[in-house]
Amino acid sequence: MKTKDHDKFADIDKALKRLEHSISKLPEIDVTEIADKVKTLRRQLYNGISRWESLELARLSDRPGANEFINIIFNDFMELYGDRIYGDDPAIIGGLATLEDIPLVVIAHQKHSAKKRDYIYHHYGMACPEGHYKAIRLMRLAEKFDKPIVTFVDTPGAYPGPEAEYKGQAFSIARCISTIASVRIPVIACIIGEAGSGGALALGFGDRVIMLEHAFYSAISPEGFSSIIWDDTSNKETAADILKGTGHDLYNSGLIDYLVKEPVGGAHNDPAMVMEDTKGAIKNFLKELSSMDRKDMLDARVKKIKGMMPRD
Amino acid sequence: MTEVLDIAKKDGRWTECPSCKEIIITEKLEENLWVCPHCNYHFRLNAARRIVITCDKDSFAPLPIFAADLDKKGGSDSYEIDNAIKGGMARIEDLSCVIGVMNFAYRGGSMGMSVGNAVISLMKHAKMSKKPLVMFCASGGVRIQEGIWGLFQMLRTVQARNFTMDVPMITVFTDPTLGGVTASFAALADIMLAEPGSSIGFAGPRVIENTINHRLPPNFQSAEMLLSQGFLDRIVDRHQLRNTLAYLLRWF
Repeated sequence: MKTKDHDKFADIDKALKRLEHSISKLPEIDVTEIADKVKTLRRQLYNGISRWESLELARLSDRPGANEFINIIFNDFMELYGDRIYGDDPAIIGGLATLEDIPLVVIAHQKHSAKKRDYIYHHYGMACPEGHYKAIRLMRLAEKFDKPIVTFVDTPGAYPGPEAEYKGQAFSIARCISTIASVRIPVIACIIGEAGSGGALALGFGDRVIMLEHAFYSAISPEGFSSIIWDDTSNKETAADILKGTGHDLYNSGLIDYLVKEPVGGAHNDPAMVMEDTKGAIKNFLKELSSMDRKDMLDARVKKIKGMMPRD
Repeated sequence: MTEVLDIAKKDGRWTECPSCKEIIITEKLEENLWVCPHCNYHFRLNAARRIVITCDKDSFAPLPIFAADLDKKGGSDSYEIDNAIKGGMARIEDLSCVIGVMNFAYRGGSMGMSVGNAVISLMKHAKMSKKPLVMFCASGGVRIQEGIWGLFQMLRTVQARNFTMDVPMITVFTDPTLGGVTASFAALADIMLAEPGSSIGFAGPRVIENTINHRLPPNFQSAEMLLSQGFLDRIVDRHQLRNTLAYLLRWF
C-alpha cells in the first residue's frame, strides 16, 4: 500500500497536467492540435490498463474518498459516532442524510480525511470491531425507522492487528454480514475503491450494488495472494488477473447491478462526473426498491445471494 | 538409536509430539484420541478420524444431498467435497444430530464454492429434519483461488444461517480456524466450543506480525485467550467432547 511504484500514476498524471497547463499558456498560436495530441497520449496510456494497474488507480491518494462522495451526493450529512459498546472507529463513518427529500442512513469506510489525507487516524479504512458494531447499530437504527441504507466501500480489509483480535474481529464481521443480509429495508452498496476480504463484505452487499470501473473487489489483495501462493509479492500482476476483481469483471459475472464509468485516468480526474453518475444510480435504485413490495424485495435478495455462483 | 527412532517415525509406529517433542507409540496415541499423554497437546485430526472418535460406532451416514444441491460449475466435484468437508446424520450417545467436519488437511480447509454449498445444505438438512447441527471447524479461511466467488461463500453461509436461526447450532473450533470461516457461519452458532490450544481468529499470525512489526506472544489467538475475552462458551478437552456434545444435544 505504501510502495514506490504505487505512485506511478500520480507522477504520470502530474506530468500530463503540467503539460496541458503550459500548452494552455502558449500565446498566439493555435494550440488545439497539440492539446489534442496530449489528450490522445493520455487515452493511449490508460487504454487497456491491466487489472493490477486498475487496483493502483483504486489506491491513489487523489482518488475521491467516501466523505467526498457523501458530501456531494447527499444534502446534509450528519455524522453519528460510536458503537454504543466501547468505542468509535474512525475507519467507518456513518450517520443520517437525505437524498432529495428521501431520509436515509449512510455507512462508509473512510480511508483518509479529505484535505489532510490523514491515513493513520483513519487506519487506512481498515475497520476494528467497534467499526463493525457501529455499522450494525446504524443498520438497526435505519431498520427501526424504515429508512434505506446506502454504504460506500473503500477498504483494503478489516484491521489485522492484535487489538482487533482481542476484541473479536471475526465475530464482529460475522455479525455485520449477518445484519446487512437480513435488515428488512432497502440496502444499496457502492464499491468506490479497494474492497478487500471480509472487511469489505461487512458493508459490501446490498439489494443493489454499484461499482466504479477501477474499484477492486476481491477475497484478498493481489500481494497477499501472491505471498500465500508463491511466497513473495512479485507475482501481484498475475494474482490480480486470477482474482478478477475490477468493476468490469464483476459486472460481467453479474455480481453488480450498475457500473460507473470513470474518466480516462481514473475517478480523480473528474470527480464531479463520477459522483453525478453514482448519485443518479442511487436515486434510480432507491426509487425502484421503495416501490417494490417489501416481501418481494427480501425474496429477491435471498435469490440474489443464492445465485451468487459463476455462470458457465 | 536416533536411526531406529527415525525408521519407527517414518513407518508411523511412533509419533513425535510437535509441542513437547516426546516420542509416543502411535497405537497409544490413537487410544488416547490423538492427545499427547505428556503435555495434553491435541493433534490435528482429519475429518474421517474426527467422525470415528466423535460419533457412536457406525452411526454416521453421509448425506447424499450434496451433489444434488450443487450448481454445474465449480461445485460438482464430488472428490473435492469428500476431501474438504464431511457431513451427514450421526448419533452421539444415542442422540441424533447433523454433523459437519471440515478437513484442514485438504487445501488448508479453505472454504470455496463446494464447501460453501456443503455447509448450506447441512444447515438446510438440519432444519428439515429438525435436528441440531454440530460443526467442527478447521480452516485457513476463504479459498482465495476462487477469487470473489470464494469470498461470497461467507455471505451465502451467513445467509443460510440467518434462515435457519431456529436450528440449534454448535460450533466446535479446532486447530486452526481463521479468516472467512470464523468470520462467517462459525461465529453465528448458539454454542461455541473449542479444543484446548486451538488457534482461532481472523487475520493469520504472519499478517498481524507484518502489520505491527513485532513477534506475537505465544498464546495469541489461542482458544484460552478467546475464552478470557468472552467469545467462547467453553474449552473442552477432546476426552470430554462427546459428553459435552451429548449434554447439549439433550438440552436442546
